[in-house]
Amino acid sequence: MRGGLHGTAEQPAEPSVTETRDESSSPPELQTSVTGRRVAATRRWVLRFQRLIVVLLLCGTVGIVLLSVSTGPISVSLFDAGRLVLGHLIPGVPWMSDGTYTGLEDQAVWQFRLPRVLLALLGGAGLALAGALMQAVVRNPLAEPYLLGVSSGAGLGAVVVISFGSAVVGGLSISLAAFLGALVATGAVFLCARQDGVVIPTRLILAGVALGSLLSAFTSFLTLTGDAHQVFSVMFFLLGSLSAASFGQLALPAIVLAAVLVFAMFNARGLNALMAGDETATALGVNVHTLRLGSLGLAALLTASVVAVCGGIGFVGLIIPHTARLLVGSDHRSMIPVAVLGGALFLAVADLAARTVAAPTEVPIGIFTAAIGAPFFLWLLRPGRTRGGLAGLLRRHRETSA
Amino acid sequence: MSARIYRAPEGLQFDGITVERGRRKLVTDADFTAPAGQVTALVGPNGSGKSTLLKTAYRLVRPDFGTVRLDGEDLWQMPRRQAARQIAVMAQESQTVVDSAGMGQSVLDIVLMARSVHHSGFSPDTDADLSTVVNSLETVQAGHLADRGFTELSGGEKQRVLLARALAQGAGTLLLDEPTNHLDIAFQMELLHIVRELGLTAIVALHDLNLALAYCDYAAVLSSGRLIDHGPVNQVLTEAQVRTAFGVRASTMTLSGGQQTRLAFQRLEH
Repeated sequence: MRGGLHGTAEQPAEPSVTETRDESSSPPELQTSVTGRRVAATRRWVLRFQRLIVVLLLCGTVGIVLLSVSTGPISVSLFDAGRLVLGHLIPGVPWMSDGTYTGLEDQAVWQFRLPRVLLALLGGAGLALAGALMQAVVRNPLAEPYLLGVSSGAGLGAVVVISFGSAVVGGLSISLAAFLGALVATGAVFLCARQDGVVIPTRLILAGVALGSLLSAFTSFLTLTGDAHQVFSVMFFLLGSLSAASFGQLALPAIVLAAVLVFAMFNARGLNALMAGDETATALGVNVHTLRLGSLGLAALLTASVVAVCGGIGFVGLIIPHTARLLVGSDHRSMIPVAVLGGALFLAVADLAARTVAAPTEVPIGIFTAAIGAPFFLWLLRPGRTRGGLAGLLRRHRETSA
Repeated sequence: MSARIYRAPEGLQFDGITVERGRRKLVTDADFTAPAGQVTALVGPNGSGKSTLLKTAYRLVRPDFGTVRLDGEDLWQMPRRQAARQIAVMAQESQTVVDSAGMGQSVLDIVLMARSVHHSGFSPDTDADLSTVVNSLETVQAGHLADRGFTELSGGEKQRVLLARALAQGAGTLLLDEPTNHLDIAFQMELLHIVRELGLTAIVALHDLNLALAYCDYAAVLSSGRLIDHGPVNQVLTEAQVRTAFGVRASTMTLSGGQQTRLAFQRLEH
């Protein structure tokens, strides 16, 4: 017993070799024992299933980008929209200079619709990733990116600029004021949540709720005592909108998203351990305090960078990570890529709906994230559905073969 | 890997461990060695510092004074992951935390997690990992639970799975903090039997002194944070020592065969 257990434990990791290994060279336990055979056989299906999900999400994302750039008051076909985008990316293609497309068409596709759909992708991916990190490190399924007062801080920052003009805050734009408001609010929540120099998850949740309410009270007061026409722009910011998207706004969320994604993937195993408890994670060699603080700080920064340009889009950061878990299981190594791609696709779909359903009037996107997201999530939660991931497939495999 | 001089395993050594919380001392100058390859019972009344002492060995609580050494090496001087490869833990919190988080981890997720001490970052699980996990689950007779959700399991099944996770870590030393909580008597004995059969260095914090007598080789008794005795289990868990540590009267019984002893307890009348 001891030999078998520890003989395998000492082997070095061989991540690249395993997938191409055939049955004959895999350890005997995976062939001789009932459990081993079942686990090994279904793992192949799991890897295929996860790949399929990722490929489908990637195709969906490309599809929604094309659909978004071609849809709008100036009609451009899918093919022409694709050619216009390619024309900007590849220098010297003939159709850009031979008068095939009018300046108006070019402007609609390249200057308005493309940055908008890209911002939707970045925002959705960012909120989903931030939500996944928050849920893991505070171990609470209700955790979401706005847990740390990011949205209420951003909201107050934006409302101050809208109500008093940018002069009072030293000429800051609405986005920059929102970004700074978010960071200040998050910092305050962090300070309140510390005990003996360590951030306590339950204190964090309570401090976030309390400070969020306080800031929202200020925001409501400023909104209702201000000019009537400002109420509309404030509501639009608080509910979220991508209508002001431009290429210039993409840089900050893109850079932060990339950095946080690298961090999250590199710490995926640590996040798994953290979900099982601080003691367990410590026993597995995870530096719990550092990982929690890093994840919270980066998630807050990512959320702030998204909220500053998109407003407080709700629901994405709460629902998409759970959806990813239901689809591929709770292991962060497979769940994070699915959540990021799923969030991107979801917000792009919601934004397309927001600007087409009541055209030419634009509906705040937050209404659509909830209206599309909630029924979809409830459908995923329907009774009798088996779990996702390795275990879910294992169970289905057993049930069908029995 | 650097060349290492072969050293006979020395076990897990607590050397003058003192843990303070504010002005209160949770553990005072604890000094003993859990012998290599043997099962050591850590006993004592509630709040006597059993968990705290174990936590100094899995690096959750840094001792204010003293060192914890594994086979002569200071555990707090080595990198976290290196320590985690050598010491596996079945902690008290594990069940409740997973239940309340509600993230839907499966039994496989829970046990596979242990393998992360041998990998870094994003790397996928290898066949060796899976077979270790399968092995561990079968060692605790929980192979059939592999595809279940952790929260669906009964208390006893959860403890099996958590033991399997500790085994899957592949460490030579095992720390168990009251592993028999919420278990029926049959599985209490089953679990300690499994631990004993592994032949690893193990420290088990226990409330049931008779389980300690039945399944442990060695015992250490804590009272109010002080180590009052340690040694072979039969010599430590005596009527006199139980009276000192727990304030109850104990009578020794010899089981048929004459090899094993058990204790019966009575309230001490003042």
